[in-house]
Amino acid sequence: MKEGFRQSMSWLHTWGGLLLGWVLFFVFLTGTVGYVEAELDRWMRPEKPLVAAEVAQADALALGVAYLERTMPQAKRWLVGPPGGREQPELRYFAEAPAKPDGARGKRINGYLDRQTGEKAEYRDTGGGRLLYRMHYQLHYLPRIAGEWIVGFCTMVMFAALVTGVIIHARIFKDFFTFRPGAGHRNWLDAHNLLGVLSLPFHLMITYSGLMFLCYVYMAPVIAAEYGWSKKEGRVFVEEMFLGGADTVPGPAGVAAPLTPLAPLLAEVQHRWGPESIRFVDIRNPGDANAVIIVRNARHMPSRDEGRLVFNGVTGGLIDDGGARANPAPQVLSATLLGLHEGLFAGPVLRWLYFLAGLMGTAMIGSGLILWTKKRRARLEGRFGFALVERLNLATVCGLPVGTAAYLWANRLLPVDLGSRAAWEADALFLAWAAMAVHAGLRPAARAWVEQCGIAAAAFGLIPLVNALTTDRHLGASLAAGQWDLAAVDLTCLVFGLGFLAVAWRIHRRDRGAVADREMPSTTIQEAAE
Amino acid sequence: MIVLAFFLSFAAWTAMAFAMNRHRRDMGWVRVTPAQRTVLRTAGGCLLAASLWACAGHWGWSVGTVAWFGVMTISALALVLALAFRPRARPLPD
Repeated sequence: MKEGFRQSMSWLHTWGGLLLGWVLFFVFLTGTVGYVEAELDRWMRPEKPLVAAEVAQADALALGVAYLERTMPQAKRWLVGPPGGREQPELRYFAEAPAKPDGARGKRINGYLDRQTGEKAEYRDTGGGRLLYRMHYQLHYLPRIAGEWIVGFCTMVMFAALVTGVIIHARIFKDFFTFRPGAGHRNWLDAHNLLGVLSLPFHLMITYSGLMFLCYVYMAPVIAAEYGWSKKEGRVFVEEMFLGGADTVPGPAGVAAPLTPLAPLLAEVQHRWGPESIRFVDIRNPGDANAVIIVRNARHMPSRDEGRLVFNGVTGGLIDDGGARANPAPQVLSATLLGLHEGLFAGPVLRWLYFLAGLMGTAMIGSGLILWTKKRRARLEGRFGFALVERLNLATVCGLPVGTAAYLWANRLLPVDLGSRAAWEADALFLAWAAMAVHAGLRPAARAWVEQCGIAAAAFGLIPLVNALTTDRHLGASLAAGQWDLAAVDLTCLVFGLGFLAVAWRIHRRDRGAVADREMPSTTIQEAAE
Repeated sequence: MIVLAFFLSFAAWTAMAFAMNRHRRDMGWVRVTPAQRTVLRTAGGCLLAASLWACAGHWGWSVGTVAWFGVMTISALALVLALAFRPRARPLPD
């Protein structure tokens, strides 16, 4: 340690941030999109009725159970989620047949039902906002476990970068409101610091809780030391940790017994939790003497802790009201942090705040990447390493947003009956991103920035138009019906498009100015010669 | 209530900016005296607390606290942009 403390912190911040910044940019961008996952899901299924019909949860649940009774009467498990607000706008079902004689898992079915008729609802095959959200912790094209390890490692570096960032930026309070627009790398440094400092509580919370989400992956030996390495032993841990104790539901008795009517149970649930508070109803061993009905409630608070009621599926008596379950303090703390990370409790205004904070985090990473090149241009320009970083920055900061826009374009433009359509949508994202990376590699850097910002402006700005040409769920219809969730997707894309256009215009004007400055002396000399 | 929370927080940050000489200069004010600085910072702190109270009034304390951080971020961002691009803007023409 020849250097001072702050220099070594600065070194870690610079190089850790640079090397993993590209992955972190992806994680932050897709994670931010995760906050509007439900709205994107809605947008990407234009077959859904423009205005969802209002139905009582109890009625929808009855339709769902009736559908499963018709479709899979001999089942190990039925699960019906009634439509209930943003988190779960659909009537969904899942069912699993009993295991086959050779021990193999039984057939599983799942899908959506029309909430008024109880018939199967057919939507186009799409990954929706859900897929983008999943990418932020599993990446894509990788085995789940590999993606989680990579993201976990990057998150750790992100956390280190935040802490070291606060240390090296010692003037954190003196510069609290400082942004000096103008030339040079000073304004990028200001922007980077501001984006970091102004939503520092969010960044710290999101990164630390992100680490906590994945700790079961990279601290697996700690769990294994207590529970054992096998898959079955791992399952015991999952049940104790997340499902409120080992799954005590007995297997089927093999004796047929009719399922108790749901209505009185749901009335009891409503009495305890209030109206429209059910997340799903989980029926084990339906039609058997050992039937059990588990009801889970919806989340409305930052803490993820959920309520659970367990009923006897034949008599309808209450077996467990969840009251006996002790919640040790560390578990409450962890549930609160994880709940804060997901922000599922957020209403529209708070959701926008989450979304903006996420965008600021993404922009902080992007500005940090750009800052690296701005600071070193004079010293390193022309070297291969510098050119590589510059191109990778462009391919990430402009290329990935273009890829996300391509994902939405693909949702509208791919044929509805295309096989593995959802996979193609994701491919469109990565193909567009790859194309942008190639473009960044081939074009002169300064031109490439203008061109890619222009492409991004078109890619986002035209989405409302593409939507209007391919569906009747366009802004005219959604605004007229007051469907703001739907309209917000189009309008936000439009705003992003205009933003990219403004940036492209700014860079273009600046570069032209720079070229004019450089050419000025030669023309003056020519004029003088004449 | 949400709008109130935003403006309370914006006012708090403005008071804090008025306690800093760099921003006073940009806004065309004379240097701050130590007594003024103390008053401005205290006022800022009180206004932030009032903003938290407004958030809690709308969302309840648990969600309101979370929202308060978001409100502080957005209002500070608004002030930064105002200071950078329109430091001498006045609400009313002189």
